[in-house]
Amino acid sequence: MTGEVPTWEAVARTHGRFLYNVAYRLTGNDEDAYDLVQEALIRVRKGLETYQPGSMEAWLSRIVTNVFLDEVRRRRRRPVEALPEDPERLLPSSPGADEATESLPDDVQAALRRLPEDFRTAVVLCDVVGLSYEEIADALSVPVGTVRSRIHRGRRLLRAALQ
Amino acid sequence: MNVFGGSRPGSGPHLEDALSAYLDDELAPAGRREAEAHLAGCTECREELDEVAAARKAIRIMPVHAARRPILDVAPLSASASRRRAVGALVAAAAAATALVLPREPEVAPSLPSLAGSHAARASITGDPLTQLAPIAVPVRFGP
Repeated sequence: MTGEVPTWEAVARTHGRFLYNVAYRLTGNDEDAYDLVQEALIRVRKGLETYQPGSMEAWLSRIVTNVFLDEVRRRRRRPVEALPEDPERLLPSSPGADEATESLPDDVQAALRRLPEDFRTAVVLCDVVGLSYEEIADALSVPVGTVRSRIHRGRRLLRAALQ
Repeated sequence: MNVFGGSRPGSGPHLEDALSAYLDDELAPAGRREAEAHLAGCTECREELDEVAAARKAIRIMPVHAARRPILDVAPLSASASRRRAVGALVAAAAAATALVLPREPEVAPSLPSLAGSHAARASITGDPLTQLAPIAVPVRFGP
């Protein structure tokens, strides 16, 4: 043992709550979030040997995001099992929602879930995880300008959905 | 009506996604000054800034969403190892008070009982479902 690399149990214990929250914001529901965290922990376990001490949460969010994106791609290749984008369940149904000055977390979550995955992922990494644009670009393997655009468009769509 | 009324001549194109970058402090100093100069004269961009700022805030103030069931007991250990660890938690629970005094137990190759003890201690403090192991049936003592 090197004495510097934490065990995956320690990671799960210390960062599990963080990991789950990110997974939930990415997937939009508990079941998928749970599966996502399981898969992420498997990768954490495999990856810990090569983990370079640094921002553990940035590293973890990168892993959980990659698992999420892999799953999105996999489901896109198999359209029969499309992501459960059920508009009836996701749309905040109250017609007077625009009267509210502060949006309820459930409404924000529903609106977040309805964003296209590319936008949602960028917004979650920015506003839930707190990564810089550079870190997000790195995690998603896209240019910083693309990150900037996705975050902005994602926020605009979210705002429109909440009004 | 606002005296500035829309985009002034010479203030450049609308800021668009630079508005989010502005909010996130992701603009270089020169870009930031340009954005501020443009904002001072452009109602449209100020309104868009308010919109994205509201969305940004709405996400950021969302509370952390907690798991409804533990994740650790099905994490990637073999089922038998996971089971043994869960059983060990009961034994270690008695030592939870000790673990409280030592919240940062050595994390290098922790013995299973000490690991389980940490879980039990954290669960007793926080009630965090992630650290609450599966129901424990039989108290079995085992060595590190």
